[in-house]
Amino acid sequence: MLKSIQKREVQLLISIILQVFIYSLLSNGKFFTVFNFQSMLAQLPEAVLFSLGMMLVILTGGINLALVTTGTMATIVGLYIAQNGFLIFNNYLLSFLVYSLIIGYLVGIFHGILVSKYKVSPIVLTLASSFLFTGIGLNITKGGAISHLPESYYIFAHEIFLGIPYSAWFLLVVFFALYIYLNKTVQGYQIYMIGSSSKATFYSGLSVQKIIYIIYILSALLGVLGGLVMTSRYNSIKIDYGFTYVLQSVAVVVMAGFDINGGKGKILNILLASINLQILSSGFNILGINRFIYIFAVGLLLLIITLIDQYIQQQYQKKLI
Amino acid sequence: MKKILRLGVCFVLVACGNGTNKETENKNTITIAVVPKLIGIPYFNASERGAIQAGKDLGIKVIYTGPATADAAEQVRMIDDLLVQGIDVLAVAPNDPASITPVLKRARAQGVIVLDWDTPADPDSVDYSVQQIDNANLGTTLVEELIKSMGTDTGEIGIITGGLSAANLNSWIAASKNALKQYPNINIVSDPVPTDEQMNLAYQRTLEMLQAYPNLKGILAYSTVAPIGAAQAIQERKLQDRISLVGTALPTDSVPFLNDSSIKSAVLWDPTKLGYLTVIIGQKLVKGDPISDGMEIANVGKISVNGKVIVMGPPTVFTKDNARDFDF
Repeated sequence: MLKSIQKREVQLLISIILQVFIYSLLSNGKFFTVFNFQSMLAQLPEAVLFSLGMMLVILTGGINLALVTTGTMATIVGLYIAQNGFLIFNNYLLSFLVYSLIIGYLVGIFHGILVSKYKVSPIVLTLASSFLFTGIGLNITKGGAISHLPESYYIFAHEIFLGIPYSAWFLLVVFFALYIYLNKTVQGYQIYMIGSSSKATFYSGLSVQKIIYIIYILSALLGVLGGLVMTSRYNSIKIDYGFTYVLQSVAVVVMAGFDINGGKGKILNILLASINLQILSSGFNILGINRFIYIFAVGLLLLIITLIDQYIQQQYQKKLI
Repeated sequence: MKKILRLGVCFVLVACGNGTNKETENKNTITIAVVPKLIGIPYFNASERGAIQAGKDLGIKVIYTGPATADAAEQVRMIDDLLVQGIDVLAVAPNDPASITPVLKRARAQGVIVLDWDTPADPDSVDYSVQQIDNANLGTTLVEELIKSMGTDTGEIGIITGGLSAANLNSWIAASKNALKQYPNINIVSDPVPTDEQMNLAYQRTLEMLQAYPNLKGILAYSTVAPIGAAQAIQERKLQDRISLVGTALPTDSVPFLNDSSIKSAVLWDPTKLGYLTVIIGQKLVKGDPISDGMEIANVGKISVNGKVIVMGPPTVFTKDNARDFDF
């Protein structure tokens, strides 16, 4: 019992259950409804996709501050190209999706080469490119939002299939694929090794450069997927949609027990930590608690988790002595 | 472990019991959710006071909640959560009209009456639009005030604005530009400069503008935050005699700047009344009461109605002489 409580996934699960209890208790049954759970599930995918993108770079000891703007910029540019009549197979929706992903891929290559080959500091690089992408997006949209999306694309984040929204199914597929990649493939194992010690990994004969390069591409693509989900949810895209997700995704990764210096953390906890934050956010809203208090609560939760972590570590080390 | 389980079961029982009791109690009360663009700025604090007061006067439940930053995505998420609560009326001041259309459509599909207030949403996705002011009237009044305080109808002027995608600010700017056509010798130096609804950005952008255009004679500032930031810049550089600043500021914010004429005059409406009116309209729609052009609303005044659009009244000009009389 005591041993399992030291595990982050158990802590996160307890926190989820406790929160659901408390909000159900206080909200006159408004929280504990199928409708609310569906609503929360529809809100979740974009946040988790961004957090997964952040997780990958943090695993290698990096960070991607341009994650969300990569998503919004790529989607804006993709939509812009498609709207100007450059269509693939004469299909507007397909062209938009393909162009957005290509732009994201190019961004990933750009970050990947600079970080892996030229050893540019990820925090400085991605901060710079987040401004760069914001500029590109603003120039195309003139500060507003681009809409004119095909009617069918709206369904993706809004219609329910077998009890949960399509976008949540999509998230599950992406999550499962990443889970397999990180836990069951050689390359996934190597990512963790690089995070622990890139020097040791290098001397063991692995191409550290190549793996970091791939990681930045995957991170950018996850950013674009987040952008595509937002585009469907808001039926439009604007360069600053979801700018609060950048730091929130870092918070989720830390909450999920990842070492900010890389090499440690379980992907499942990303999902649990995101669910925690979603429940906190929706719960507070449903109880009608001021939004400033929510922000305070997120900070507090993060602080508590860090302190618990520290405490358990110390106890563990004492035992070793 | 057993103990924990037992405790859990207790929790669930209590939760369910609570739920059924209160539900029946609340059935007769109307619940109106009023969502501002963001919370914690003076303008939306004032409209909160009005909305809450209207709720008290009418004996209905008013939820006033919004995002902590003007993030369109966050606002949509909050509306999602409000819909879960089972509300009768949703009145929203959209940060971005395009992003809010899907969730408003969903609300209407659920039978919720949807209003926009302060800033128009997509007209097809709302039942009524509660607007503070006739945009053309406000835009023109701003220009008239500026020309009056500049004392000349020749020279360079600049425009700063809260955000380039805010529909209301854009329509005032358009109205002002239209009114400026009467003054062919007034030259607007650049496109409207966005300041993200942040005072420090408005301050910086104004300093830059003063630097870039040394012959500048006037500034028009749109949004309730931008004029204050601009006024700080003018005050700091002691340019009160050279630059005329006119903007859409709240009177209490502007008093210190009106006094040393860093702001020549502020043109706005009373956001407290706007919040009040929004809740009144919401209640009338739930009850099925008629809403007609020229009708008198207690504590607000005469409103004009044109199709879906309800307009509160003409703008108020705040000067150094009257600004102290207002409490918002």
